[in-house]
Amino acid sequence: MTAQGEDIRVPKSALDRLERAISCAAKGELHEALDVAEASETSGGPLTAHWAGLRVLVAEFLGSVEKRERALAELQLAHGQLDEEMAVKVEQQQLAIQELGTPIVEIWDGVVALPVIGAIDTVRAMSMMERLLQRVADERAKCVVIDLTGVEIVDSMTANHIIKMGRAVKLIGAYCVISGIGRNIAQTLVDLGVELGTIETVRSLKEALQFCTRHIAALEAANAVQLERVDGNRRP
Amino acid sequence: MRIEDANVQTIRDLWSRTEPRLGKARALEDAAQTLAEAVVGQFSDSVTLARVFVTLPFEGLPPDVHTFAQTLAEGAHVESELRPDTRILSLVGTSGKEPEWNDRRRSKGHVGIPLSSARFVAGIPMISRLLKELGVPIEWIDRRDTEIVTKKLGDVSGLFHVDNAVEATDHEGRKIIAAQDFVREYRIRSVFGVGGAYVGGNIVVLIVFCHDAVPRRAAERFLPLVHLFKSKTTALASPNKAFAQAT
Repeated sequence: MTAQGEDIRVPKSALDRLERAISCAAKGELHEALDVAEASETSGGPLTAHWAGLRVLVAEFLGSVEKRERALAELQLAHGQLDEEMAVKVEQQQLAIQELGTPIVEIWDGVVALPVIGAIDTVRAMSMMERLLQRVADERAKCVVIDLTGVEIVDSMTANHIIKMGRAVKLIGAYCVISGIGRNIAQTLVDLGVELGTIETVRSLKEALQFCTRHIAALEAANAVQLERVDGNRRP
Repeated sequence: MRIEDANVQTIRDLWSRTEPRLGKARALEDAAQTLAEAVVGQFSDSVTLARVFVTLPFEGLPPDVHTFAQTLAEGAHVESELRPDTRILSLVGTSGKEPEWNDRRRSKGHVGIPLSSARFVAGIPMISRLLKELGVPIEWIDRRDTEIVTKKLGDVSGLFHVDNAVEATDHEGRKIIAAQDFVREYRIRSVFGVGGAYVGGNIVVLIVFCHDAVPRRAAERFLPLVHLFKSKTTALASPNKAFAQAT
């Protein structure tokens, strides 16, 4: 063997070890290659510097392989984290859109209105009903107006959802009026044979408000009469 | 905890509890056993059985795995395909609800599956789908070109997922999870595996059998575990360090 013009003698066993180390490294058995290089380096001989070089090279490669695996794992974890945060944001946005899509507003003392716009599926209907009943209970509303002016068409499912909402409002002790039933909706309700029962219907939100204020006035008058009777009975 | 409820933090916590124990492993099978036990322990509301497999050359396997692979090959009349360098998908870690599932030496099935030829592997629906979903075309088995295989497999990583173990079939109408008696007895619903390959080309895969439905999205959460496991066990992923008795 010649190194920088000078012949050196290398034992065959050292060449065999070199061949084994290189073969292991080529097969990806890096730790085997490292073990051979370390053992050969410490045993001394003319190839000591070469063994040291090989050891450093394999160790660095091994370290970079392990770092790469950890980096890939971190990347996947970060990706998963992003997915989770995104899912939470999408859910929050859907909730916000739902609330914006069906606002519940107080239009008079004791009167809340639910202006419905667009189609109503089961999920939206459930959410609307839950929020409406909560609002009626929180504000002790006496009247609720479900305004359908923004609804172009209804099918039997939508009609059923609206009627259920009206019944639920009545069950918790409030008065329910449906307004804004247009020609198309009226026709559909008749064709579908939908019975509105005791739920009042009026043409516009304005009429609904008049209806509600009259209802509240009548309620207050009835209460006043009742109070007078109670007071009269108490007098000696 | 159920697997469906796992999130990134769950996986991070699982790893931070497992990693120190992996550092003490003297053989790949110790590390694999730790991982399998950690998965079963963390997700006991979902997992019936968790197993870790690694591909290793036929030559140098411990006698029990060697004999199992040999017997399996003989039963399928492919013993002539077994060569010293034939890769055997060897069971290195196992944990589950039954006592005999908690020690690879006491396991009776799937101890070592020879990846002896593409034709033989194609006959095992679960393994062929597993390799395919990990991104390994089974034709590589017939190629015998170690260098190409090593380079190719170094980048392998993927997810194997069977949503419904009772119903899932391959394109030939065979059940993906062939052990339907096991599926029925333990009410297995979903099976998934996450795997990858070491730089030397040995594939490692964690297969989890669950008694509840695990959506693909939830199974994907386990992908980082493979890379983390590989990063801690690169030194042990060679034939003479895989099993404790061989060291």
